[in-house]
Amino acid sequence: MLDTNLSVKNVSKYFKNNIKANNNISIEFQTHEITALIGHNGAGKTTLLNQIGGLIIPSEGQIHINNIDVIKEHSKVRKLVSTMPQFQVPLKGVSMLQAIESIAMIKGFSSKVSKKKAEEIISSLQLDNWKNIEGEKLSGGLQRLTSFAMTVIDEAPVIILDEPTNDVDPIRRILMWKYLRKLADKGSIIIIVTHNLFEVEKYADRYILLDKGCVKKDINISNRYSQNIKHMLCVYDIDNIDISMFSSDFVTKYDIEQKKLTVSLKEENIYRAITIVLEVLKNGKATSYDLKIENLYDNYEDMINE
Amino acid sequence: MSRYNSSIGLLKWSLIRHKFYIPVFVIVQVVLSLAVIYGFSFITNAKDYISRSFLCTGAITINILAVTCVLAPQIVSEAKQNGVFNYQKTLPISRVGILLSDLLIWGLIPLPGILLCMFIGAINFDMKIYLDFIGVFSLLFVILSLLLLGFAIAYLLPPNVMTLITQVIMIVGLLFSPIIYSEDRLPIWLSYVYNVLPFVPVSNIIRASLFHLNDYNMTHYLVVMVWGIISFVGAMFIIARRK
Repeated sequence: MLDTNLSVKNVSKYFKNNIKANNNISIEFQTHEITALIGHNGAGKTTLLNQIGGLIIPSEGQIHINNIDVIKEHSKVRKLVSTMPQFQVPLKGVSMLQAIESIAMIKGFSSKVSKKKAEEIISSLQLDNWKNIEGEKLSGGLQRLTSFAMTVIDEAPVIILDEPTNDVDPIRRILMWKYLRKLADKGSIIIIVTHNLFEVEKYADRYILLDKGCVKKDINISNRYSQNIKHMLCVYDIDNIDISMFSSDFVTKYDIEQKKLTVSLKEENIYRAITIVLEVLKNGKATSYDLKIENLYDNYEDMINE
Repeated sequence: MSRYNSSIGLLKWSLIRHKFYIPVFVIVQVVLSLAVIYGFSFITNAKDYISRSFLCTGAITINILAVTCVLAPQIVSEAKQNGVFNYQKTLPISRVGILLSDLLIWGLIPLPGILLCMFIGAINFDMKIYLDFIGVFSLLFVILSLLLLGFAIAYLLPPNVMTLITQVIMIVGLLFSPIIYSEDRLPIWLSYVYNVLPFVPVSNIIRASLFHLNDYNMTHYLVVMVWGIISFVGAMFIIARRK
């Protein structure tokens, strides 16, 4: 697949009553990359996805895919972008196999190829047992997986997915992410809205934190770890008066209700911090501790509040 | 080739989604046809050839109305509410294609009712049927025009208003309009109103083209065509609209 170029430049969207859904967003999306859009409900993630898919016209700014203007040349863009919407794609009266096969045909494949591709993806997602069952009889998770298969079947240059793993079991979530990785490796740009920060950290290449319609963070996950790895030390059942030995040297956060102290550490400070913890434990001023690499979930609230 | 596959895929998907409804709609048409032809003959005391011919051609028109302006808008409106419509908008298909695929599927659905009415007319009332080029063309013309009207009602109006409008069309069409009786029983002004709306002209086109019971009147075709064009523009406006 040829490399695809997707650029979002100074995009804003104002709805009625001057409500800003997004505000001056500029992002370059890279081919071979899985980008996760994260943020609170109402942060503007779905609006941005719909703008990229050409379903919402920005009030200001431009979006180009391979130099094609998404706003003006929507019919061309529809052939480049495949969308999995946030809502459940209705499958009433249609079996899983029929739905995937029909969408493959709509996307231009012959009947024979469509059936083959549909069977392959059903097998990849381990859905063979349900392939001939009509959509309305499938569970929410299986309907979501069907919708996912309908979206990725044509391996479009740009694939946008709005909360695809919702309701899906843990095993098939992994299969979905692996499938997306395979598509990214082949050259697709994958943009995914999700609230599952553990999955973002584990499977995405980059995350963009949106807040109140603006880009708050744009982080390349692999760079983040190679350049700025941080650790988190949690000390349990420690009283407020005993935390001073940490707070004088390190960045700390204390939860009064849980009596839990969280210390953010760089690698070179770990030894010193552990020494202090052991001393605290020895004096009976805390009950236990754990040490882990700081993850996106731990940082999320701080990033939003920055 | 890709466009061919895409069109076939769209039709296939539309057909599979509608297959559940088709047997039910056929039964509805059979019941409706028998009810109008035989039921109304008791109410209106239709014993002469002209009165019975009105019941028979009226039953065809009411069948078409039931499918195009009542059932189709309800199913299209359901598709609008449950997300099929929004999902279709994300697919690499032309906006006209979305409308055409539904037109084709829905265009076939009224045929069983029409054929049954023709059969009853021919066997029971000795009515002569003219299924020539003009007859077939006229039939397709009225079905497609009224389907476009039905789709426009579904796309343009919120679901509760759509339900109200389709019920009004059916009740007025079935009970009051000069579809199942002769127009000359009405005051002139009311007759004028009915001829500006598409339903009575449709009935007159069917009587003229399929049964040669009326003279051809191009004004009837013109009225139906204008409604069809306005409806097409309205439906396309909603289908192609982006927020």
